[in-house]
Amino acid sequence: MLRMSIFALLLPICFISLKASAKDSTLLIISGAIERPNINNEAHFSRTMLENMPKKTLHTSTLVTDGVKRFDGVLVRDLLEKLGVNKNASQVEASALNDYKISIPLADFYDYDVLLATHMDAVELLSTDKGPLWLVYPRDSQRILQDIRYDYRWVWQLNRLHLR
Amino acid sequence: MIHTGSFFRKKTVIRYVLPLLAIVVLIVLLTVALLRLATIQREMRHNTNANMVWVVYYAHLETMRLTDVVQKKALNPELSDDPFFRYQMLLSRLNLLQDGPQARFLEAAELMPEFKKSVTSIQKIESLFQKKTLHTTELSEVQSLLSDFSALMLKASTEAMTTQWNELGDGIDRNRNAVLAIIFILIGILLSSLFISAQLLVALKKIRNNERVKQREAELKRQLEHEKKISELHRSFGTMVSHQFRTPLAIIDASMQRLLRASHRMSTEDIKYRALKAKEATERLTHLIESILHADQLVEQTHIRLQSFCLLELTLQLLEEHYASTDNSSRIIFLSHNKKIKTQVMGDPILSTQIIINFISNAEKYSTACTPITISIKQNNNQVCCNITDLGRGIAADDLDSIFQRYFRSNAVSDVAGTGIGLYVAAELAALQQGEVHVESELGVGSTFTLCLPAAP
Repeated sequence: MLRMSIFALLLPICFISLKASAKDSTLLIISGAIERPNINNEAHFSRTMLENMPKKTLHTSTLVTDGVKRFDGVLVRDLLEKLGVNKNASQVEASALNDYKISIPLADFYDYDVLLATHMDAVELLSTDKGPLWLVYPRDSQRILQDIRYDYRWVWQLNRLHLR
Repeated sequence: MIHTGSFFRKKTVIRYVLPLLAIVVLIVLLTVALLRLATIQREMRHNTNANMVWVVYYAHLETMRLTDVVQKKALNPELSDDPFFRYQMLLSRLNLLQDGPQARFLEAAELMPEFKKSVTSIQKIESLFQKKTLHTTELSEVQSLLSDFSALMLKASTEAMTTQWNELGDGIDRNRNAVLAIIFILIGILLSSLFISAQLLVALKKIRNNERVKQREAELKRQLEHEKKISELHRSFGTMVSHQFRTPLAIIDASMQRLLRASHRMSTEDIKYRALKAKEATERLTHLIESILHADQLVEQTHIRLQSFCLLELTLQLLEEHYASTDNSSRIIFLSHNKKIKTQVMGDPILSTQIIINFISNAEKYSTACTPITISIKQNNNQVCCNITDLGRGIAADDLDSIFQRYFRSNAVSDVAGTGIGLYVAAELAALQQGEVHVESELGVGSTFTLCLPAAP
């Protein structure tokens, strides 16, 4: 009973923090089969909101750069858990600023530590490069992710995730 | 000698060096095949340039989209389309092309100087994309620069496609050659395996031949043992005949000589006495010959009827018959048994009777009449045994091993008539019923002969 009351108190606080922070310019919109949206059935995330999430660092090589790069950002899994994903969802449609659109299995984000990178080698990713957000897979630590069929899931200039 | 040495060297090469060489070749070929396969596997994961056509295509697409937006905006400045945003998108493609493998591709295609020049020119007019309206001269400058860059990207895309296809072709050639090499390696492996298999088969054949030779040797050894036994038998038979036949023959001879020499001086009674002695000796000889022939018939023609019977009852019955049929009724024979033990056995009662009677006869023959004979029935594991013990002269330890052999007679009993057949027959009859006979004896103390038969279930 006590646990229920604490949960009931925490839920509005969480919602308010999402809503309040969404006032900054939006970097990412998550829509579709989510349980806790903040604006019109969508969850809008600004840079400040993403920076307030637990940070994660990943070292990996990429298909379009040389050497091993350091990536900083948040785990997509953490974001999805914060929003609550509908049990029926199985695919995520990722869209980029340049109108690139690709479908990714939702399981990817639970099977691997897929990062929503905001920085590469401690430099903020910009839209004139591969930013502001880049979906980065731990390619070097998981042999299976070196398969060409995972390479097209590295969406740069990411601005929307739609769950279905 | 030189010829023999080279022959052995040749044999050693065929037997050991060639198979060893084949195994080494097999291991080397397998290792090479594995390495070639690993190389193919690694190459299959190499996909860097597969991305290039797509990267160039997107750069070209962004150039076209920027040109389109700029032109539309020039016609209608109120349009919401944002040329600066499209410029940023193009810039991201330009940055991508200057990074990592993309930059290396442009260098290799000798397009990098022209590309960098175009990028610098485009970046120089960045401010134009932020302006709300453009002058005609500005518009034509933008159009000209983007058109040049578009042409460059078209050239780059053709180059990327040809490079990719050439690489693909090279990769196919490499893989085809590698597969061909692996096919040859596999043929080598097959040949080596066939050679090793053939060697194994030859070795197996040799082992089988050796086994056959060993079996033949064992058979010959058995035959030799058999011959030795027969020879021993003949010798024993000769000894027995010389001992047992000589005495009656000597008696006959002495009686006949006496009769020939002095019959005219002898009384009728005396002649009768000599003739009787000769007759008795002849009868003994006949009996000896009959018993030898009878022994062979007994063992060879015996029909065994195995059945369950009580060894104690059988012994009691044969003792009664024994007392009734002989004049030896004064001889004391004790019969002892434990009532708690089962005396039911599996065997042939007729054959068992013959064995026990033989043992009792021997006990009577080789002990003085005043000493008792003891018969006891005992259980020994899965057997029931009948022991016949006398307190007679006993058997020397050296003779115990031969006591059941055919025609064997100990030198210590040369004074007693016998053929050395009785105990041999007893042992053979016991074996026919899955039973066995034993003897324990001490010289001057007495002997115990035992018949053991399997206990009835």
